[in-house]
Amino acid sequence: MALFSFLDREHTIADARFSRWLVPPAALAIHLCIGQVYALSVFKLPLTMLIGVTAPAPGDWSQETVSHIFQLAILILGLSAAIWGAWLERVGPRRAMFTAACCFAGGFLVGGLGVQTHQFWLLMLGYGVLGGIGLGIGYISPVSTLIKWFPDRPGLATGLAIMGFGGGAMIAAPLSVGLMAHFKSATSTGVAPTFAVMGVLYFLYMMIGVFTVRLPAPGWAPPGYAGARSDNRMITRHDVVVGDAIRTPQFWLLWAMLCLNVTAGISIIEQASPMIQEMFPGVIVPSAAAGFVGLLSLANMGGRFVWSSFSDTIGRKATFAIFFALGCAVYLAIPAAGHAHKVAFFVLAAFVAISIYGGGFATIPAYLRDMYGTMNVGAIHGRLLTAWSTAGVLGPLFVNHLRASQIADGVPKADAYDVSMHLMAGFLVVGFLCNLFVRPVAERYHFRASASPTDGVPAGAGR
Amino acid sequence: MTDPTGAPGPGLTGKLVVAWLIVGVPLVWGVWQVVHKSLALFR
Repeated sequence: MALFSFLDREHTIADARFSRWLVPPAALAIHLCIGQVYALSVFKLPLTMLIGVTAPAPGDWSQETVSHIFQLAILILGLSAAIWGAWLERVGPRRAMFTAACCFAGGFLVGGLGVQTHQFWLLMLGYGVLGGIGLGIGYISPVSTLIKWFPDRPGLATGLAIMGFGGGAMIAAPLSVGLMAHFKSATSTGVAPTFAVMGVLYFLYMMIGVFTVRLPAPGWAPPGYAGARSDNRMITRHDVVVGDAIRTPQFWLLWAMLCLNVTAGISIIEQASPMIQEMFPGVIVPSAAAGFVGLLSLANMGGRFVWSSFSDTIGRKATFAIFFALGCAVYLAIPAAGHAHKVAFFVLAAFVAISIYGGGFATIPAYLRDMYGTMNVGAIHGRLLTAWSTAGVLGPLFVNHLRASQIADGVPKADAYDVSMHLMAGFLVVGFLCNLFVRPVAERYHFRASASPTDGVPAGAGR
Repeated sequence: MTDPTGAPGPGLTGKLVVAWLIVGVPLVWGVWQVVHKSLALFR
């Protein structure tokens, strides 16, 4: 349609005056919005009191029921990133960002309607499915564009954008609480109008990213950049199409690494507040525990930028080796700090662990670029994010089940974290081994312009 | 495809400042909210 032709890939090509430093803010405008999903828990209690308003009443949803919204959104995030990653490469970032904004904002509006009419299926359809699609497309839409603009510093570029996903929750939590307080009345918790306002606000904010983003012209390179060093075999000078990439062992090694790293991080994030209170009874009060959760969100955000930028200097494989080796040490240190009653040491270990969790998310796109080139990196990244969905859904179930069975066996609450933390350290050893086996992709998978890719989407093939 | 010196022109500098402020101000506000609450941990 001509009305939406401004979204076309060919209308997104930058002219000579465009600065590539405008692309990270465009990406941040998207990620700062969709990062709201990490702050969904602020709606958890109000959603269980929609009928009772001040306390749960018969007919109100339970906390367990409400927690399914987050799980569904994360599941749909991974699936939609995998399904529409190749489409994104074809149509370009602007149309993808616009679609993400419509879905994410639309998810809030439909979800708000579900809250207003107290129909859980509508809330799941809105925030979980529609919003989840917005999350998935929005998450991957700026990543490959950034990698193309910053071939000299892909870790820094993706770290900047994905840092926004961590930071989005920090904005969304106080914003949501403030809006709910504003709309709250004797007959309403204020959730439905809050959803409606947030939907509109996020749509408008995401449009800043839509209108700012540009693709570099074919053949563009930063001044002074002469391509990847030919002596570094871990950074390819070739491209691999998405259909071939998922047939390589490297893809599944990286998939396992992301899945294990996310599972380990979730084991802390999922139980951070009760964990610190139960490990240090009488020392850590609930308000201090809330501060600890806040510190972890800072580690999550900061780790994304710091670790990813650092990977540009030491390489992706070395960075992940540090993640898994250091991660293993800190996961073993967490229960030890609890037994030794060392609060500061405990907080420091958890802070490092969560910075690694965030760092893994931000560094993996650059690792994919190193392995498979820039041509289909967005689509490949989309497929890899199914690892996040897997860990996001199964991780909390696994961790909670493990803890519950420990307590049922008579293990004191404070000690019930030991097994899960030691198990996570073991997971990270497996991750370390996976990383060790990552080698350059075999030549037979390299894309050749004359060949007909089976399932690939060569860049610039858009109409 | 860019200015060979890599230096942005005056109009572009303004755009860059505005773009970074639009994303930077809410981010800094969000971080401050968290830092402010996290201080309880050390009180």
